[in-house]
Amino acid sequence: MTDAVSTSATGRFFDSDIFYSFRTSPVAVAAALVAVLMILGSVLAPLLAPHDPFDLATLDLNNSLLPPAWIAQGQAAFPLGTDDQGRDVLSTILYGSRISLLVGLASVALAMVMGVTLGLLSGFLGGRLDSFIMRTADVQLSFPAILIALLINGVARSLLPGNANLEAMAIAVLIGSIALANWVQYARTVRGSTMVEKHREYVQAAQVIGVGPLAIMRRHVLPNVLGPVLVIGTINVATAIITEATLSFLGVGVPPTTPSLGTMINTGNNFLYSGEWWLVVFPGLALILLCMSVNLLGDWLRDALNPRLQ
Amino acid sequence: MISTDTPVNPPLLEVKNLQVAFTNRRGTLVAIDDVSFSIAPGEVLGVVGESGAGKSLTGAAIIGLIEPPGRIVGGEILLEGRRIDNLDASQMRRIRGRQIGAIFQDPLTSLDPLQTVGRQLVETIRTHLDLSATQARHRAIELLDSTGIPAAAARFDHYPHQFSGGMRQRVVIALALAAEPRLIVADEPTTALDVSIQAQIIALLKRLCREHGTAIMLVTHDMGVIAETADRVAVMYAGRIAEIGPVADVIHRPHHPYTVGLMGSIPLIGHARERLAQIDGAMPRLNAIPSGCAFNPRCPMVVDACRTIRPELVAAGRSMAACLRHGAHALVPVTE
Amino acid sequence: MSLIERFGEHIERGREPSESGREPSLPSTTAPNTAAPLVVVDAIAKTFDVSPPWLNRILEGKPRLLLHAVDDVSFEIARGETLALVGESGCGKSTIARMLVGLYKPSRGQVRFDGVDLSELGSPAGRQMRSRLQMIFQDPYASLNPRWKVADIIAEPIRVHRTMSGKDAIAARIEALLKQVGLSGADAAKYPHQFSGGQRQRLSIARALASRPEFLVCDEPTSALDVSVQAQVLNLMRDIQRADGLTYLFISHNLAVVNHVADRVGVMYLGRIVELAPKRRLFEMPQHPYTRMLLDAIPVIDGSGQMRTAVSGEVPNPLNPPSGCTFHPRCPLARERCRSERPLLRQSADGSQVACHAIEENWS
Repeated sequence: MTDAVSTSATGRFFDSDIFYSFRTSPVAVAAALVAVLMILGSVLAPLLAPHDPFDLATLDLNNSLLPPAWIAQGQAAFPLGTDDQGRDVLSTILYGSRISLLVGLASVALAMVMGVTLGLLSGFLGGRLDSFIMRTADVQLSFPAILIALLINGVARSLLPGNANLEAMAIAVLIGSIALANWVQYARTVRGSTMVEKHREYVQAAQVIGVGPLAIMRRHVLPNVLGPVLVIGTINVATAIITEATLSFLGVGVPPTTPSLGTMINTGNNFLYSGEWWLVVFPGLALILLCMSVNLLGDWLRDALNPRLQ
Repeated sequence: MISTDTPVNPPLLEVKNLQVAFTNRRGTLVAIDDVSFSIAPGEVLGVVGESGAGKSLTGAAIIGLIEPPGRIVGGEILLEGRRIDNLDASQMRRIRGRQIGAIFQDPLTSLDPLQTVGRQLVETIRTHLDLSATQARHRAIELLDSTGIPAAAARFDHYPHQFSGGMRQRVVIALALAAEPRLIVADEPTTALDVSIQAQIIALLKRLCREHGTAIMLVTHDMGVIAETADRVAVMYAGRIAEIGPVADVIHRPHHPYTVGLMGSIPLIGHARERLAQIDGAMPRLNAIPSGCAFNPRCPMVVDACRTIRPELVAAGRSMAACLRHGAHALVPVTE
Repeated sequence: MSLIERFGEHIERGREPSESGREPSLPSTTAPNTAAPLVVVDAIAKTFDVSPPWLNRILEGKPRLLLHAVDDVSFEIARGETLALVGESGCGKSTIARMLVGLYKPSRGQVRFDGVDLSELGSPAGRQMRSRLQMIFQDPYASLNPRWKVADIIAEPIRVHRTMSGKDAIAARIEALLKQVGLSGADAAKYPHQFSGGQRQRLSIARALASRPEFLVCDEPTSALDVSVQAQVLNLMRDIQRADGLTYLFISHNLAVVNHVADRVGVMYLGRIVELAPKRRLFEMPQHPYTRMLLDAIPVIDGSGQMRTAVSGEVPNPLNPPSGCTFHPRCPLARERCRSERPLLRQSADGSQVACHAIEENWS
């Protein structure tokens, strides 16, 4: 009476409707390819980059402000040109997208953990805890994300001791502030789903068996409310990257010594009108490609998981 | 065509060799496989079956409301001699409501929660009948009154949520009858109601349809409702008709082994049987319908021929059964 | 052999010794059970606060709204017996079911299981008692966690109560349980969505049996199933009761089903028990007007096109029940006393109980 379906997880995945809708959607496949390429590129930056932009010894001011290789005066060794300190733009993009991806993924992960936990507790336990968490969320939602990130950034900088390891601190603070700005949407979604699931009979069955509320939340409810969270998460990675770029552009993100795509766009902007267009265009294109591919993947995932559209 | 089953008058509705299939990426699944029956004017035909038998889908096919990716892939549906299965959307809309009314299971979702009950009635009436607003309102109040809703004129302006479940279903019945259709397709009209209300609603439906001369196609899984309402009944199994005939015959003298098992598994008040008769196994899924007779894996009287030959509906007593053991030229003799 | 007899072969198979290994040790239900009852329900009541939110109450001047879902209900269930509670929507039978497994706490009164008050289920000592009572739910699609494998679902009671240890022992027990409910051992690795409604209900039964309970509360276990599947599940539940000596509380709105499974039947209306009697007595000689009304409302399959006696009125809104005897607006025997005074359950000579002034005072 039951279907002859393979019971291994990978087997089921490749056989599933989700994978089918993936491989028949050219946009999703293309977006996935681009995203994977960019992620691989940044992860393997030390291997792929023709130069190391942080090694001050290799920098030669004679190489500064060279245009891309296919334009006159460009050199093949610097395919996308160099900046004012002689750093290769391509290498800087590869290393820079590392920072962007790190901040993007880490802040989303942190926001997810915070938001899902608070949403679960809020939806399942209800009562005063629920009201408290939701009112906090409401207050926070009334502030724009950038403003919150700026606020937290500013406060953290003034609180942290001197210049001690400023770079690592800056990235941690950045991740924390973006996460704090974004956790609310996860919490709300999960709270709504939890309130539905907690009345379902399988939860009651677990209560009758004698499972405690925390265990029920973790083992029974959580797997069933994660679906929309993943969709929001993928789309959020793109917004987090852009938020980081914006903050870096505004000068309150990563320090200029470890350039991210945002800082590159910031410094490159100054050179735009003096004719060195490649310093802002290529990092900008990289940022667009990365965010767009992640966004499109998120779109596809949302449609694939929506039963009504099928 | 089928001889012992055809009623005397020219039929109001004729379904001939209907086939409905669903196509998705895994292939095509046939949900209704060569189903034929007819309904005479004013007759009540019950369509009974379990989940997955295709009875709701048959009703949906007649109203023209099959949800994609399902569609009619074969056969014809004729209303008063004219085909209705191949009409386009706007033509079908005219037929729906005017010629064929529909009553669904859940009165809560059948009514628009944002409009008053009266407004919905008037809208339906004026869509299909050429009446002025005042005339339509009169008629609507009359209809509400005839369905037993007290203080109909006052309740005309109430919203669906202000009615109880049974009252809502009465409103749905009023809506279905608003344009004086010739046929009503009722899909599980009383399943969501309490037992004491079920009786009221069934009685109401029967009385109103008799008064208006409307035929009913009553789709349900509840044999009790069929027993007291229908004139004829069709038993469906795995998208096919297993047995069809007068209600008393199908219930008390069933011929198809599935019908026999079904009747035996119904708990009754009068008899305190030790165990209910049970048919082992379950109805096959659409992608796993056995060849030959769809019931053969579960049939206690199966023979080899049943696994290869799909039985046609043949005469069995006063009904017709799709079983190789019945009919004048039975392929397999009945050995009872 | 006639066709119906071939289907009825299961009648014969039902009498064979079971596979679960336990001796059928069911005491006869016709002789009075002198042992202490397993479950004692003592004047329980449950009130839900369904008031509008606090702000609305202040701003719109709305009063508090209390729903008296269960109002002073008492009964006992003997070991090995099946007690059925029937009634229409809003009568409180599901609420009682949940109080008997500790999902709700009674607002008043006490539920005692084997002498122990159920409100102690929360304590560490009481936790072990949970393994002795289990529940089967109505909706086969919502009562199994769709993300869990069947093996984990069935093993959960075992793991929570630590009644067994060792992966192999547990796996063997899972397989035995699956076989006992008519499924195969290979089903343990599958997910619920791969099963049909009837099979899922069997899985629910297997899960409920995992901790070797003595008492099962069944909340409309077959209402969502097709009639032939229902027959399978009812037969299965009967077999298991015989084999394992279980006690059942069976909730249903379907009197015909109750006729097949119950030893005693309680009829409920708007949170109160109006009649409680052995099954045969209830169906052959119903006393309370509501019981009679319910029985009359059942479609007669055996007749031919015979109309039922249509019932008058509808179940009133439980938030605003009638005074006195809540049934009086629909009762053909109602008199002045019924409007003002609530009738109490009185015991008659044959052990059945009825709550009705007319019966008590012999109005004709």
